[in-house]
Amino acid sequence: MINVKMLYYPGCSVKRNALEYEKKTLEILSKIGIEVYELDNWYCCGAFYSLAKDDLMKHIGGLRTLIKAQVQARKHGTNKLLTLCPMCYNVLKRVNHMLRENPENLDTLALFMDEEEKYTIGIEVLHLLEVLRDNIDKLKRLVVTEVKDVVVAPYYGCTVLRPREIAFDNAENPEVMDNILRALKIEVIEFPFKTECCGAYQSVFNRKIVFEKSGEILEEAAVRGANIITVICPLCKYNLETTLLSLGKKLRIEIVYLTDLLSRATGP
Amino acid sequence: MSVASVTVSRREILKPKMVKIYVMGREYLVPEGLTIHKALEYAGFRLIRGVGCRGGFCGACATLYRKPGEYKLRIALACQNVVEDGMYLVVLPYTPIPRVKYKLESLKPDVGLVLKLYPEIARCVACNTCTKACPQGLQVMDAIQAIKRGDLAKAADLTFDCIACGICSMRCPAEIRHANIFHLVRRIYGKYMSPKPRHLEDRIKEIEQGKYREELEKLKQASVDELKKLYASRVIEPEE
Repeated sequence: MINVKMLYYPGCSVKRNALEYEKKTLEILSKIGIEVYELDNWYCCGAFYSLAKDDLMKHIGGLRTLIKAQVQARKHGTNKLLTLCPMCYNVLKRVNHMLRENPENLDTLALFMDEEEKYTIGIEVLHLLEVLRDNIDKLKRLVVTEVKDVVVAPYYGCTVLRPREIAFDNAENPEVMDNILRALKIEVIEFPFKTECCGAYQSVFNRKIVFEKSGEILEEAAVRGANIITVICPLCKYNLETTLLSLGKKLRIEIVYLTDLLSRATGP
Repeated sequence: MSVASVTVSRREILKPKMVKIYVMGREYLVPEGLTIHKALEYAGFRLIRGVGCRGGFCGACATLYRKPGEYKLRIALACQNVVEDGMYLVVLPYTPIPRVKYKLESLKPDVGLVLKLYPEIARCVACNTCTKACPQGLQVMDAIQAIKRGDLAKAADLTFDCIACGICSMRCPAEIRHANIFHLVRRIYGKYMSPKPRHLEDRIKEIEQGKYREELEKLKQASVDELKKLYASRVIEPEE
């Protein structure tokens, strides 16, 4: 099997709250022949892409990580940078895009970051879903057990699909995750709430909003007969799970990372 | 040119080369090769604030300066760095970084705790200004970033040589209180995470059991002359 090399940016959430997500994901990637190299020095991406056009300071975290990736790209011979967390994906890819579209911004930042080499915009930021999509045949060959009694509502969250210039699927009706699950013969429902907001960072300021938004998602999934919601984002998982707990034992639904479910099909 | 005309007096030879420095905007001529502290004293300043151990350890003499023709704001410790010609400088008397109160015994050692006590670390934009400002050459930003992702052991290790001069905090656009945060992280690491030294526990037990009580009592009764004699003949590192 020809191995594909990728650099890997874990992000703070994955390293703090989602180590299981990382472990299962890296196992699966290694099985489909993807060699992953974690950046040896990485920084918080900023979590949010700053929308103010002149607020370049907020993009330094992202740019600094892209420069670190550029240095290590030479060492490992790959320009692909893998992310698991959708927020990291969103920020890093948008910073990359913004620098490509506005070279003068890159010059301004380079002047400030005089301790680093200049970024040549050669890094390609990827999300796990894209990588799995592109290796679906290899994934199929890995299946050892049929995952039974499982009905899945795939949940995408918002940040891998918006805005359009960084999205890899339709923002209204994405099908990447559906297709991956179906390819592994896992039952998937039609789920119109697959891109509804879970409440995101309102978990810090106003949990009521989270309970309301995530509650709708959970109930819709249950009504449609799902017993599992697959997620790709540590924050979505946190919000859906806390909401589920707040509802007591009303709903019999499990929130799992996509790769966790995949590893049930592909074996240990 | 006759030989006689180049005769230079001994005084002239010993006369040091002078450099011009600007202390808080005012010009002074001071001998080359002096540390900033010594140059200030040469210029007539009496050092009261912005001075401490004068050995590069206490962090009391944080100094900011610029060199002629440069936009860069440079940093120094006044006791460790020598004056340069054209230096524009100020020695900071104090950096306002009040400490958050906590009880080490009742803390839970995780990253959420550091964020709770010092929420500003979430504001770090990874600009690296702190690292550029550190007179100890520490990877200050890397330490803050390590805390953000929960690696307190790494942060404690990276900041072991922090002297709490406070310059990074004065330069930080996110207004992070670095020295206190690093102090907290090292305390958490020391109390909850680092392996416990067996010999220390053994020694504390010995002290509690009164192993040294008799010897101490004897010392308390001893005369000054006896003490002097004991002190002179003491064994510092007993060989086993």
